[in-house]
Amino acid sequence: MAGLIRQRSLSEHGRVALVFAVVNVALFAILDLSQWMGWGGLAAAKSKGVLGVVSEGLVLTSVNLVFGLLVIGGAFLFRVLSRPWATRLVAVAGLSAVFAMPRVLALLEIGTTPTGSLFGLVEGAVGIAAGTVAVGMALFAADLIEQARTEAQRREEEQARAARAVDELQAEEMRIRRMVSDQLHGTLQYRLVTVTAALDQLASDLAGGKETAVADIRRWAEALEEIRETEVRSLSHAVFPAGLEIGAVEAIELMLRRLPTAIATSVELGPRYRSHIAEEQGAALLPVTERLVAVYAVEEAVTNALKHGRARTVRVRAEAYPRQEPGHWVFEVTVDDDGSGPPDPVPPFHGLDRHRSRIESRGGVLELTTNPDGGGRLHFTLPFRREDDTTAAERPGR
Amino acid sequence: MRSIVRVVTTVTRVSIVEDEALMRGMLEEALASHEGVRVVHSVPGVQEARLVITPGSCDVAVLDVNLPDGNGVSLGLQLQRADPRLAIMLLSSEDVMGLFTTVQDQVSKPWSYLSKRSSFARDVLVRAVTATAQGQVVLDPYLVQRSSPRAKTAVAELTPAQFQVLRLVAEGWSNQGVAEQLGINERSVESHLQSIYQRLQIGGEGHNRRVAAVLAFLEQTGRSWRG
Repeated sequence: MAGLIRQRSLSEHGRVALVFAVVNVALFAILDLSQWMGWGGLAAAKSKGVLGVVSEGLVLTSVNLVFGLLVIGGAFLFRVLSRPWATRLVAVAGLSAVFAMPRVLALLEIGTTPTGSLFGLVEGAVGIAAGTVAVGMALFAADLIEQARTEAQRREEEQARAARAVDELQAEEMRIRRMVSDQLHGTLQYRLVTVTAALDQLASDLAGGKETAVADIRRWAEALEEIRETEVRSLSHAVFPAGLEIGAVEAIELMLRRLPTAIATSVELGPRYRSHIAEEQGAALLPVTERLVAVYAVEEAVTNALKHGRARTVRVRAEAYPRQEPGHWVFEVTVDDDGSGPPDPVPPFHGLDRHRSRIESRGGVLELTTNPDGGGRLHFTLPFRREDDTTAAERPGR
Repeated sequence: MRSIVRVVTTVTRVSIVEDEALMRGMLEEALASHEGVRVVHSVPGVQEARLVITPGSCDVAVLDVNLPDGNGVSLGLQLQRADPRLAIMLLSSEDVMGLFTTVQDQVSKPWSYLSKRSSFARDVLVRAVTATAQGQVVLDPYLVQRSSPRAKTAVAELTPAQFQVLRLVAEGWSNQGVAEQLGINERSVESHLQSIYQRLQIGGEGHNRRVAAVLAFLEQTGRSWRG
C-alpha cells in the first residue's frame, strides 16, 4: 500500500516537473526567436523573401525545442527526480552540454544566424545555461508543489487518525454506558428488590414473634454485602477499576486477588519498576489513561486464559523502561497462564482486538502467543510520557 | 500519681482522614469513647491532612483509601516518610485489602486495614487502632474470616487448626486473645505459631515474625464472592 502511494506520488511529481520543463523550454525557444530577430533575421527578408525568413525562424524554433526536449527526455530517463540535488544539477548540466553541441552546429547551418567561433562558443554556453535553468527550475517548482501536497496529505491523515480516536473513544463510552445501564436495570435492581421483599417478610415475621428472625436479618445483611461487593463493585470496576488511582500494578494485583482462590496468581515487577516504587513513594509512573488501557488488557488476557484456556495459574510480569527521548517510557507486560493456550492460528477474539487497536493507536504492540510451557502468553508494550509533575496524592481519586 | 503517669503514656493519639462527614463523626465518637484513645486531628482530605499531621503529633493515622483530592495510600506513604514512627491504618468501603501488599515492602512500619463495615463495631475499631499503634498489622476481621488460602501457596499447606490461629493473629488478637477465641490454652497457640513460622519459612525473632506471618496471610489468601 505504501509502495503504491509512493509510486503514484512520484508519477504526479514527475508530471508536474515535465509540464514546467516543457513550458520553460518553449519560453526559451520564443526568447531565442526574438534574439534571432535582433541578430538580423528579419532584415534578411529582403534577400530571402518572407517565406524564407519564416521557414528559417521555424527551423530555429524547432532546433531549440528539440534541444530542450532532448535534455528533458535525458533527465527523465536518468530518473533525475529520485536523485539528490547535486546529482540532479550535474546530470542536467551534463545533458545540456551534450545536446548544446548539435544545437550550435544546427544554428550555424541556418543562414540568418551569425557565424564564427565566438558565436559558436557563446551559443554553446547559452545552450548549457538554458537547458540547466529550464529543467532545474522545473524540478525545483515540482519539488515545492510535491512538498505542499505531502504536507497536506500528512495533515489529512493526522486529522483522520484523530477522528478515528474520537470515534473509538465514543464507541468505548457507549459500550461502558450500555453495560453499566444493563447491569443497573437488570441484576442489581432485581437483587435489591429481592432483599427488600425479604426484609418486608421479616418485618411481618418479627411482628408475629418468629424466633429465627435474628438469623434471617444477619443473612440478609450478608446478602446486601454480597451485592455491594459483586454487582456494585463490577459497575464501578467498569467505570474505574479499584486501585487504579494508586497505580497500574496495584490495580492489576487487586484484580488478580478477586480471582477464585483455586487459581494461583503472581505479579512480578521488573527491577526498574521496583526501583521506581522505592524512589517515588506514592507517585504513579503511568498516566491514568495508560493505566486504564493496561489494566483492562491484562483483565482480558486473564479472562480468556480462565474461560477458553481453563488455566489454573496466572503469572503477570510488568516492567517499565525509559526510551531515548527524555520523559518517554514504555510499559511492558507479559501475562502467562498454564491453560491450553490459544488455538493455532489465533482466531480474531473480538475483545482482544479492541485492546490491540487501543494499544496500537498509542504506538504500542500487543500479541497473543503460546508460551514455552504450552499455555497462553499475552505480551504488550505501551509507550507513555512519565508523570513527574503530579504526585498521585494530589489527583482526584474517585 | 502513678496511675496518672500510666494513663498519659498509654494514650494512643489518632488522626482521622475521611471525607464523608457522617463516617468521620462516627469514627471520632467511637474512638473518643475509649479512654486510652484520643483523636487529635479529624480532617476531610489530603491537603488538610498534610497541614495538620506533623511529625510527632499523633501515633496512628486512620486514612480513607478514596479521598476527593487524592488517595490514602499515597498520603500514608508521604506521612510515614516524614514521620517513620507513625502507624497507618487504611479504611475502605469496598474490599481493597490487597492494595497495600506492594506498599508493605517500602514502609517503615507495616500498615493495617479495616473495612468501613467492621469499623462500625466500636470494639473492633478500638482494638485495631491500639494494636496498630503498638506495631501490629491488623487485617479486617470480616474479610479475614471470608479469606481462604490461594492454590500453590505456603499458607495453603497449613493445617485447618494452624490456619485458624493465623486468621485470628491477622485480626490483631494477642496469643491470649487467640487462646480465648479458640478455647485452647496459650501454650498451644504458641506451639501452633512455631509450626506456622516453620511452614511459611519465616525466620527471625518475636514480633517481626508475627508481622511477617500476617503479611504472608494477606498475600497468599483470597476472598470469593458469589456473583
